Amino acid sequence: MQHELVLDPAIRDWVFLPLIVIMFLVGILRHNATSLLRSDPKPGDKEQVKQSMALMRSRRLRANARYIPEEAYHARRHYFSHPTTGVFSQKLEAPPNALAMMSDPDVMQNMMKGNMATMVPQVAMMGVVNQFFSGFVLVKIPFPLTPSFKSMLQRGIPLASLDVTYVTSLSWYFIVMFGMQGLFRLVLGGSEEDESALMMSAGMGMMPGMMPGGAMPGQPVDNKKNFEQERENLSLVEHKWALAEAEDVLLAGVKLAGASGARRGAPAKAKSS
Amino acid sequence: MMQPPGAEVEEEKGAELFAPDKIAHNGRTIYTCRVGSAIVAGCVAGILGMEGLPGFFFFLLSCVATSAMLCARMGSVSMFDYFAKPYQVWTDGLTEGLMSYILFWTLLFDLVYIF
Repeated sequence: MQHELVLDPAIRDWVFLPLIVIMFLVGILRHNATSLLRSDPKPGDKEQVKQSMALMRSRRLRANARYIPEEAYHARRHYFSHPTTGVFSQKLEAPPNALAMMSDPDVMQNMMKGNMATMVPQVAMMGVVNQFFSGFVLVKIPFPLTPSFKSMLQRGIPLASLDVTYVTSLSWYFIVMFGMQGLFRLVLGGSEEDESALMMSAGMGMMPGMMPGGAMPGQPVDNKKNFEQERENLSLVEHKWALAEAEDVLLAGVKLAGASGARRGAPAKAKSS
Repeated sequence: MMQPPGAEVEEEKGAELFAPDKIAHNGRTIYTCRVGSAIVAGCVAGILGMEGLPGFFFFLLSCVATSAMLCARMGSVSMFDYFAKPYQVWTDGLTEGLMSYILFWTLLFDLVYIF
């Protein structure tokens, strides 16, 4: 057991605790700055939305086909996949490619803003910490590390015999930086990035106004391929009306079959609504 | 700290009936519990002056305890209703929890024993 170093209380009062407070406040500032800088996503192109909605309707039709009579199903399928007049057979203009989008100043600006808001404070903080608080031991971390970390964690302290667990302010900065992320989530609630990621995963149909199809908002999707695919899928569906023998089942008084049918029906209805 | 999980998620064999927003909400709740318990455990470990491996064991212990409490809160049967994968209760947010744990462990340890 090595003899313990005792650090100057002034280090605690003027470096150790202030660093936490500063990083916490900077984190909150960054959060607010990000939400101020973020501009609302533009609603998608009208044609794009229409196409995506058609795709969604067709998908729902495939999923719930057995709850509508045969004629109704065929009428809907005809509407979608008729070789000449169907929705999926219409001519589509080529979507603007990704390169053209990159030159769109709005998209670029948003990306820049997002990067700036995260990068700038971090780099600045690191520079400040390195500038002012280097050259002395700040913290003893309570778990052992291998000596290979020595050059990284004790930069600026040329003491060969110093234990690796005594580290400088830069290491403390990193510990605080990573550890704070969880704390921010607690303090600030579910962050905005969370919400948007959630919308992404929630995908289609849940959030009106979002670009469906799992695409990023504002990013054009190539619906031509999707249409081809969906038309193929539709032609593969084998229609069987689930309610065709409903009255027979009822009259036969088969309780079990009826009950299970109702149970199966409920979630499907919930999905289509 | 023990928040009840969000609305129940509809799930049935064979059909993909998940409510992703609800699942995400449940995941966030787990995350909150995890980070909160990690912070408390870190403070305890720091004040008790744990060093090295015992500290990490203490973290694992606190995680297991948190997950077990969550499971008890949900009931072992309905656990399958709240998540896409039931083991998420045990694995979600472990890294973030560890980071917060290390931060508060170091903080309290240094305040109590070093300065």
